[in-house]
Amino acid sequence: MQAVTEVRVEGNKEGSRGASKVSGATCQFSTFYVAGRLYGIDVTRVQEVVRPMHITPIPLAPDYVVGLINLRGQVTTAIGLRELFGLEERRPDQFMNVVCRIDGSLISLQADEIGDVVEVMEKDFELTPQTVPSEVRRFMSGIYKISDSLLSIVDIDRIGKFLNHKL
Amino acid sequence: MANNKDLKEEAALIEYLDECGEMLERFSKSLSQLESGAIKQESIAGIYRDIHTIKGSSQFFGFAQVGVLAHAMESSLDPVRSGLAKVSPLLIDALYQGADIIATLLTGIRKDHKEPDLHKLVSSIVPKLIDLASNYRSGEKSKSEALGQASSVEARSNAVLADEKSKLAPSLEEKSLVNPESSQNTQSSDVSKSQASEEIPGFVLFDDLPPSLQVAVAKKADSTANPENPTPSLRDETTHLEEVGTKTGDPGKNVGEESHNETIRVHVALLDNLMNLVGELVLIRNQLLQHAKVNDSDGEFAKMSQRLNILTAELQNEVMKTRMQPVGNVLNKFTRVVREMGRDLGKKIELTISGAETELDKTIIEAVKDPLTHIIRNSVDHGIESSADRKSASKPEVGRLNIKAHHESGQVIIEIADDGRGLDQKKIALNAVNKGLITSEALAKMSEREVQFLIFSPGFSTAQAVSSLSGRGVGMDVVKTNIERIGGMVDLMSSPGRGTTVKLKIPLTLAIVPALIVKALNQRFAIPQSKLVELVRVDASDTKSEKIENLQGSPVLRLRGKILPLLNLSSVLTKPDAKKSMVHSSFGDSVNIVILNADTFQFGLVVDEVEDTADIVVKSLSSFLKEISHFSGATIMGDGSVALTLDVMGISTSARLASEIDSTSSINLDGFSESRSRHQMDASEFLMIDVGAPGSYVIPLTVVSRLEEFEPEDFELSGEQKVVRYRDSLLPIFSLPEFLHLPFANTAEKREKTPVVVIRRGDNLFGIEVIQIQDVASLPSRIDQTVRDRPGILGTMVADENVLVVVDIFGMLDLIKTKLAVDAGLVSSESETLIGKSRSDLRSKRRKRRILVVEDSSFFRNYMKQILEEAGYQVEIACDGLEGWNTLESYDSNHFSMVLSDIEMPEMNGLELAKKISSDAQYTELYLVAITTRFSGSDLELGREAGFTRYLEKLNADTLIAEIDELLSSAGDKSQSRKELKLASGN
Repeated sequence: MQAVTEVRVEGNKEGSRGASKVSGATCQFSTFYVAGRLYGIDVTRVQEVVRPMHITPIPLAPDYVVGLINLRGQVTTAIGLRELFGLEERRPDQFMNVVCRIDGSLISLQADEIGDVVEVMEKDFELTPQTVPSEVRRFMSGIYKISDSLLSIVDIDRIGKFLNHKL
Repeated sequence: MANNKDLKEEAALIEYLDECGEMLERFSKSLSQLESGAIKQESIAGIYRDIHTIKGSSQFFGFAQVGVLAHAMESSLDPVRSGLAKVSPLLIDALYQGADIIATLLTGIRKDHKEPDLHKLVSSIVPKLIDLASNYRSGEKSKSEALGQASSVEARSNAVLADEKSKLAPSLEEKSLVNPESSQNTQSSDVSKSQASEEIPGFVLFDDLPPSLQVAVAKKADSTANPENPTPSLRDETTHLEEVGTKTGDPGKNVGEESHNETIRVHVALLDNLMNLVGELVLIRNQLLQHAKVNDSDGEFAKMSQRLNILTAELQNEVMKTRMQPVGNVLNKFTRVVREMGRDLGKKIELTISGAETELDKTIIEAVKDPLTHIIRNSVDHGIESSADRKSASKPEVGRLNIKAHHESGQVIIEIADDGRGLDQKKIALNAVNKGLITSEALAKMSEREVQFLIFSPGFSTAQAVSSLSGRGVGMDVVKTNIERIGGMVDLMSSPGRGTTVKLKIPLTLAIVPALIVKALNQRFAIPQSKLVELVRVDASDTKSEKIENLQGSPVLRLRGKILPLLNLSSVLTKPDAKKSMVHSSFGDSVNIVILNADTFQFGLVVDEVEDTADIVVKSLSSFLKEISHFSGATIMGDGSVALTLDVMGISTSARLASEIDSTSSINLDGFSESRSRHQMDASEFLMIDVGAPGSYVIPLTVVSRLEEFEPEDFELSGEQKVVRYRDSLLPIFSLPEFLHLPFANTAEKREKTPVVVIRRGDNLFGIEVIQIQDVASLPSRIDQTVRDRPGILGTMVADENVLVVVDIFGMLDLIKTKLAVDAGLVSSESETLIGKSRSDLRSKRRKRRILVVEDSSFFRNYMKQILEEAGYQVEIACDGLEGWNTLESYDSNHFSMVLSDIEMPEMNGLELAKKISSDAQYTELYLVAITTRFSGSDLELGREAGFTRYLEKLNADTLIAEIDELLSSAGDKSQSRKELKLASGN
């Protein structure tokens, strides 16, 4: 299990707490990297993050359905985010699994690397810029500016919708 | 705190409801036994006590209607119990009704925690019950005596409320007796209402008390009422058991009742959880065992893991058992359904149930309940005739309905058989066409069985009028879908006048499925064993074994004379765009083939490796993966990896193996309807070939003997005739384009191998050279003969909007032979003289003749009908020997002049039919002609013995007509012609 550490993105602890009181809320995102870019999923939607596991491929399934994983006796469907986002770069040998429950079924989203859990303030939210390629944009609800980079927020319900509609 | 009290109350109420439900069920069961006389008078006490307990606890909880009703039922049983009266049907009816009302009331209570208002019902039945009780008494003894007795019974049996009740029971009876007939409704409802409040003061209190006091009351009541309740019922159980044991001597029959006193009630969800956990445990166990195997240096560890292994297996077994219930729990309910329906419809029906002890998973029992009810209602309503009808059909007046359950190879079979009128084919056909379920063209092509299976089509119901019992048009299709949903199958057998049997094949449990593990694409797949027929290993080196006949694009396996389409699992599971890299048509030295049963037909699945069998726990896939129809789910294997389970139906459909015809009647059971699937395959299979000319050409598969490929150097010339050395003789090779004078496609390119279709005709083999063998296709076999622009073409067919040309192989061979003979100066042309005859003369002669064509292949059936009718004959058709015989019997003995019969047929084959006909004196004038595609000397001998006059070839229209003409024109000396059985077309 990947250890997750909480980091504060802006100011010190009190400062961020104070800010959250003023602006109304902060949100936490579980972050991960896909092809060098930072993405985040609402931390309450992530069940767990697990190390690379043995994968059983599903013949005939679309490319982004990587296969099935045995997650402690539960059959979990692994979705490759690289394939889903149309990032055709060279794949690393092993993937980390971000396990979420979408529409009642367990889905494991495969990322290259796991980042920290990041707390952001809602006021830093911005809509996804139009310049983001549509393959990725359709799964994004927006972005957050954080100190050193931009965090792209992935809406797993959109992924769920995509999987069920497209397939 | 208040919450806690509520909970306690709630728990007590649920306990009460559960208990009442159980007792009611037992009560109903005992009633049905009582009715059939299976229970001795003494054990009526058991029934009596059940209803008494219901009464007691209902009154305790303050459910007045249940209490009053139970009380009345108890009273009505009283004289029977004390041996003063016998059980009468009237009494049983009334008791059943009472039990029903109580059940309804209980359901209402469960829902709203208060009694639904059924006063009207209750008050209509209560006087009836009391009437019954008093009638007995008046017959036996004076009323006063009886009343006295009744109250003494009350007093004995009801310790706590004895006072109120003995007062009350007579008062109720008196009121009813004074005026039993008039104004029952109003009066009795008054009675029951007043009773309710009078009788159970505790209830009023209970209802009005503040919650804190309620508990106190409940506690108090507990201490008083409870000792009364369980003790008699326990005693009753044991006595009951003893009686059953000594009387029937068949302990298995009463599994449901056994050891009631040692059971506890457990919520099903708990069992489900337990089952899941055990499933997980099994998986861990498997992993552990594998680990132990690898690290075998640690002996202690190995020993412990072995023990764990055994214990886990036992645990799994036991947990499985907790979910198993005897199917009798459901079946026994039908005693009553049948009884009541019989009464309402005025039919006398005897129901026998056997194998009630057969155990099934609880969820499956629940799932089959409704389908079974449908089937049984149908049997009683539509199947079994009224007593009058039965008498006139010289059947026993009492109709029989048998329900049989038994285990068979890991499945449970439930058979529901009636001896009623059977299915009415014509009505079914008419109805199906009227309702637009099927076109009349399609209908004409269907066999008897296929027509019968139409009743499973959605929206089908044969009942003229919608009765309350069945015939609402949602019957049998629901049965079929429900049974198939749980992985079962439905089959149907019916013969007119003799009855109908519906057979359900149901898996034992849904949770754990025995499966075969195979390997392809370097990963493992599980195939449910219920779909598995056999495993075949084909060795290329072993020439004697089954052979894969490898055609470009479509390999087939010839297995014991059957041609099975082959699919390669690896290529089926490879996306089309990636397929080019796969060499799917070439198989290795030895090939593993799994023969699978896909509903109506079988096919072979080529896998890389067959691993093992295993019990798997199937888990469903994410919803978005369900669109890949090849997989039905996934399972976790012993080593912890995930394997997909294959959906056999899905694979066959996606590979388009299932034809149109198959899908219209896709109900089948592997074992006992093999004849049917064979029948269908035979009916509609064609070999699609590329002859090198534009257009698609097909040859009926039945005339094809083998498919071969030859190297260019194999071809030799004998004179001008192309030949190939083949099996110690010469195989003449013909080219279709050449013969048909079709424009050639460019054949100049050197091909490595030439595919050849080998046709057997009589004892001779012929080879048809083609460019490519494309496919074996199941096609609707209706041949349009209007387009026959040249000899050698039988007609055309339309399939999937493509026009397919059917090649008249035999006609072509005849022509070639004549041509060869003419070239050689040996002109013998029987047929030419015939052509010279006046056609109109022949036609008018032919019109007087009726010919019965018996043929199971719908292709040949239609083809024969067409050519014979074209020639002028009147034709009737039958699709197997039995139907042929029935058709024959249904007319005068001289109706038909000739029977043309196939040899190989389901039900009754041609030889049997011929024997039957020729041994019947009234058919001495009837000509029997065998029509077949292949025959040898010994066949002729057998045919002669059976009574056939001639053997004719199926696809040789001209010769066929000529021979028939000849036979019929020499009418009269049939006896003579029968002796000289000869081969009709010279080969």
